[in-house]
Amino acid sequence: MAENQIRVLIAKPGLDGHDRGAKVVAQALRDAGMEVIYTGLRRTPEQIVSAAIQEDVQVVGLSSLSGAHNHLFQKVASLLKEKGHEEILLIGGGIIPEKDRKQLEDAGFDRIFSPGTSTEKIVSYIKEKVNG
Amino acid sequence: MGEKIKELAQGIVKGEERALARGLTLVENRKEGYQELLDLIYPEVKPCPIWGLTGAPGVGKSTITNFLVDKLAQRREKVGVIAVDPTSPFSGGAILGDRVRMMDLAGREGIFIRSMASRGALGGLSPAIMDAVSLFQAFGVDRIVVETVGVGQSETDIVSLADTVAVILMPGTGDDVQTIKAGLLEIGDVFVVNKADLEGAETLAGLLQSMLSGKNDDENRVPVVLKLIASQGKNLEELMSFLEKHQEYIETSGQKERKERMRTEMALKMHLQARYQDLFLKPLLGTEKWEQAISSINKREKSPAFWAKKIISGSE
Ligand SMILES: Nc1nc2c(ncn2[C@@H]2O[C@H](COP(=O)(O)OP(=O)(O)OP(=O)(O)O)[C@@H](O)[C@H]2O)c(=O)[nH]1
Ligand SMILES: [Mg+2]
Repeated sequence: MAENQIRVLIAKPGLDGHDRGAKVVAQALRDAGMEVIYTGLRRTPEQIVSAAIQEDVQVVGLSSLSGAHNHLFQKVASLLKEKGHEEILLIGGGIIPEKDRKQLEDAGFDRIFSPGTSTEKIVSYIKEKVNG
Repeated sequence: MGEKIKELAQGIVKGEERALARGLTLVENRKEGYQELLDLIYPEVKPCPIWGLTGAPGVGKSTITNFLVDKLAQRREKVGVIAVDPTSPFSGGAILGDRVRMMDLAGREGIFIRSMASRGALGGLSPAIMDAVSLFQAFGVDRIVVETVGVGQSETDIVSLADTVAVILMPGTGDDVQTIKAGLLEIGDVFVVNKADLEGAETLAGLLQSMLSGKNDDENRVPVVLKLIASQGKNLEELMSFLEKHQEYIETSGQKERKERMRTEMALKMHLQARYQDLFLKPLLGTEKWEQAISSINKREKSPAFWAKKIISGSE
């Protein structure tokens, strides 16, 4: 039945803020039939990457509410690369300034969603990338 | 295919995290090669104690698991954690949120945590969980902790899986007698009233105690009731030492063999059920025969029981 069950890890690195946005996305992904490993707030890049490896997810999604976590995002990308997990689809979202988006995509993110992106769009992006 | 699976099996037996992670996905999805993988690792399975924690959503299972695993890891034990959450029956998706309370364990040496959705198992344990245990034991862990949400069947399943079962409850969920659902008293080796900082803990613990004392089938097995405040770390040490004492009892009293047998029986049953589904049910759905049965039942010609028998026996 669940031959190609999509598993996604959702995390919010950094110290500030709430995780409402991340939760909304997590629920949308669940409603689209995915299994979402939700890790909550204040995660270090090392914790996120370790969890992603043990959970064998195809997708890691990071949320940020400010541009302040650019370096944490980049650290996740570089750790995944270092551990040989570039095949994991790495996406980000929340409130990330335009100029940072480019930088992150250069650093190894497959996609940074702009603020206000609909959850439908995120769902179909993931499905297409993982299955198609 | 064969070579890849062999490599994967070797990786698991050598204790490679990545191989274990991939292997777990393979058995969970029951993809091609999963049986081959299980066959390869099976001779390498090294049994280890299994602790089970079960209870209603939000009672504090993950907070408690987090503490126990932290303690075990401090003693340089290698620990495997399997955290099961229910699959949404509507979408087939799931939110697996147990890591929220266990994040301090992430990335620490000797700890491997895997979140699993119940998938087809209707809230109970699935064959995948039995297989996951085998993979962990081939990988080489000293102990496995399984967290399951106590809904319906999984509560009784956990007895067949774990050597020691802790049933977690909390006060203030309405009628306490209702909270102690039928069947619950039979499965616990220890009963934890968590959130003892909230009102009603004393009453709930007292009620449990009196309900349990009427059930002293075997003196050694009269379950213990503990009051905990897991979020403040209160009394967790007591739970830990109970679990260890119970493990000793299991190992010295001949219970271990009995548990082993229960586990094997359940694994075999679950695999048989899954095979039945694959062989009988799935190919049947949507076929002419299926439609014929549906319409005959709807017209009140024959009962579902009639058709089930007819289909299985294959007779016309
Ligand atoms: N007041 C109080 N809250 C607690 C206690 N232990 C845990 N909690 C809180 O209860 C909530 C649920 O805790 P979890 O450990 O996630 O519970 P769980 O049983 O694993 O939950 P599910 O896996 O979702 O079923 C969290 O907000 C905890 O902080 C306690 O002793 N007292
Ligand atoms: Mg939990």
